[in-house]
Amino acid sequence: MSTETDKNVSDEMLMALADGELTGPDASKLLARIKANPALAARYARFTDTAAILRQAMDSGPVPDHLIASVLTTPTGPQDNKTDRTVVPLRGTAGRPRIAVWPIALAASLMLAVGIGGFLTGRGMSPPATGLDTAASVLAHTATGGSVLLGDGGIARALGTFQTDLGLCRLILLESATGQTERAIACKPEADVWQIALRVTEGGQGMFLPASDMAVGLVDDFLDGIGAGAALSPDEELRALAQ
Amino acid sequence: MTLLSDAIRTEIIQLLPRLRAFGRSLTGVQDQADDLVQQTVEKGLRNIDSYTPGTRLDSWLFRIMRNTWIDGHRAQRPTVTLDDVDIVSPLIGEDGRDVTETRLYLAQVRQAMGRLPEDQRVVLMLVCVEGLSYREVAQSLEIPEGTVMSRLSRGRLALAAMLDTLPRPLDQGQKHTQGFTR
Repeated sequence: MSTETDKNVSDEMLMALADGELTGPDASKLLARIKANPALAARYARFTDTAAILRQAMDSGPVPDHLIASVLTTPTGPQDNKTDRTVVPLRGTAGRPRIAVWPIALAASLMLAVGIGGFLTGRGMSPPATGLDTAASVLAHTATGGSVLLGDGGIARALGTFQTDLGLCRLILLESATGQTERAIACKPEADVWQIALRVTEGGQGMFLPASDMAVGLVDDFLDGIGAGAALSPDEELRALAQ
Repeated sequence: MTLLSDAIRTEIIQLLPRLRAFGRSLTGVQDQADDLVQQTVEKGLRNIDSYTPGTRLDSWLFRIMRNTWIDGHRAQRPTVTLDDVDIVSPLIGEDGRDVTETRLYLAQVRQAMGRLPEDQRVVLMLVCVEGLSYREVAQSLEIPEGTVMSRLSRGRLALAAMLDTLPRPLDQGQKHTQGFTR
């Protein structure tokens, strides 16, 4: 079936054309040859077909929230001296002391920059906030990545769970029915009592800079400040939430 | 460091689709791939001091992911891919037979992918599924562009040969190949 002309066309050339890597006059010339030569067309189709079918078969869907949460919340630098107390923790020894008091000025400037509203801070517990308190309680037994529909139409999502100096803490996301998004750290200093330790309201939906990007820095610093280790694995989380 | 790490976090979020595709080429199953991506991200951020700013972050994370996979996961690789469980899930509100045929076919495509060598699977995932250019793949895998092309071409042809033996549902691209294929 194959002729002298189509033998001169390598598989790599046909593939490059199928993948959009070959452009300009070379691409047009090769396409014309393919149209005129069924054997070449069949070889070309092997490459276009495999790409199309793979896109369908291997599509992994949208990136899950918990992966984004991991990127946002995993502390940088060596850490977790809880597991091995003989290792001297390197984190925070140079240039970045562990935060005992919030860098309020920095936080304030970030608030201005991204339109963050409510923002309660400190190592102690903040006054209870409506909505979020409910969210923390209803998520009490929901694994990270899971979400719960609230009575007012909002959605509460668990983004991560951490052991911290304040006890077990969870990063949660609350999307209200009106479209406003809040991120919060809820901590459980004692059994069955969830208190909001930090809340960040993301404002300005039409803004160019995603407020979540800025809010994340605050959340991360806060977690750092309360001595949070890495996000708990699903098994660890299950055990921790059951306590 | 905070500003730098914030910038790196943003970049990692942008790389997540690519990391998931790379993970999928190692594990074969998306659930496991996502676990692997999570471990990679955590390791990467904890060891961010060993990343050289200005170099390719995706290459660095790919290396971490491959090492993590070799260290901890390869031994646990299941023989049945969980993704294919959905073949038997109930079908509601669609033409059951067509949907079943399509699902079965796609599951067989995934199985065929699983039989390819890892180096070919990686480039197939990154080019065909994620839409990266050959140059980007070469840079992120730190191999020559010619090697990307030869692996990609061999992988595609091997996959096509495996798929030739399968009955194909009507909507799976036959329309434009009819008349071209033997």
